[in-house]
Amino acid sequence: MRTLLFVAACAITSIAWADDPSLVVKRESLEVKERIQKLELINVTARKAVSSESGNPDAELQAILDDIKALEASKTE
Amino acid sequence: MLAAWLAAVPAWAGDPYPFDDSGYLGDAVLLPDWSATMARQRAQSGNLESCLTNRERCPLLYRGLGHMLEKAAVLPPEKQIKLVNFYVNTKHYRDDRSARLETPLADGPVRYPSRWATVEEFLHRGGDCEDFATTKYFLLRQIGFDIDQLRIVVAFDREANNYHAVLAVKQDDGEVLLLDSNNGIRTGGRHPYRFIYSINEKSIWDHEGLPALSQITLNHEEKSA
Repeated sequence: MRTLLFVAACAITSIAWADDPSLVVKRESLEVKERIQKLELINVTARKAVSSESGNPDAELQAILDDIKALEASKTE
Repeated sequence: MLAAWLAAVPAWAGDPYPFDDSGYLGDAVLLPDWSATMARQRAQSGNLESCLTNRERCPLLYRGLGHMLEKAAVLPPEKQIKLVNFYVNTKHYRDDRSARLETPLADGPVRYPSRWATVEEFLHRGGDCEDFATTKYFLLRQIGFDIDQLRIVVAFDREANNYHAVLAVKQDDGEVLLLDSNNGIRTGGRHPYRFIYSINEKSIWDHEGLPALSQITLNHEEKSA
């Protein structure tokens, strides 16, 4: 009888823990933190050269970019 | 038949970028370096504002940028995106230096291999791929794009065989553009990227791990509220 009561108490306790939202949230929060730490350690360094195959400005945008280039050149004089 | 099918398949094909709340991981402040970069950008934005209000007071570093923003203001959104992409891609590529930073996620300082840069820092010394994406983000925000239209996306680039960052822009019609540092603007699934995570000023999204965790957490928070 005692053994049966002990097993029943253990079962009820484990079910209560499993259903406790606060414990689940804590576990999930810890896993989210670990995941964010891993994401931050990714070394993001790809270098891709500008290519005319990837796209070229139309005449209007090219004129603006030329003006900018001239302004930026004048600042170094 | 096979030849026709192969010709129709793009050189790279992947899933379209999921510009939604799937994979929501948490608040942007959980990334300490990104959070600090946003604070520096806010502090430096006065220099940029002075260019737009008074050209004479415009710092030399910002003269070209001030002109670009002035011209962009009268363009339609599609051209604004292209102009910012072309403009930023003319800048110098420069490798990051790693740094040890305090983080709320660890007991002591952590060495970060990649650093985020503000517009001013990027114009001053150049940057690497995430700095190109970050600068495009801040400039499109300056032009008037909404936070919810923009995300900096970190991905593995099969074309470059390296980790890369691009800027995702959600247009008013729902189409998502991915702005690359090689001047490419990708749409739909025609891209070489395997998406890993994204950030903007508000949030972080995880595109490959813990797909259900945040949803479980949110569900519990909703229940307990």
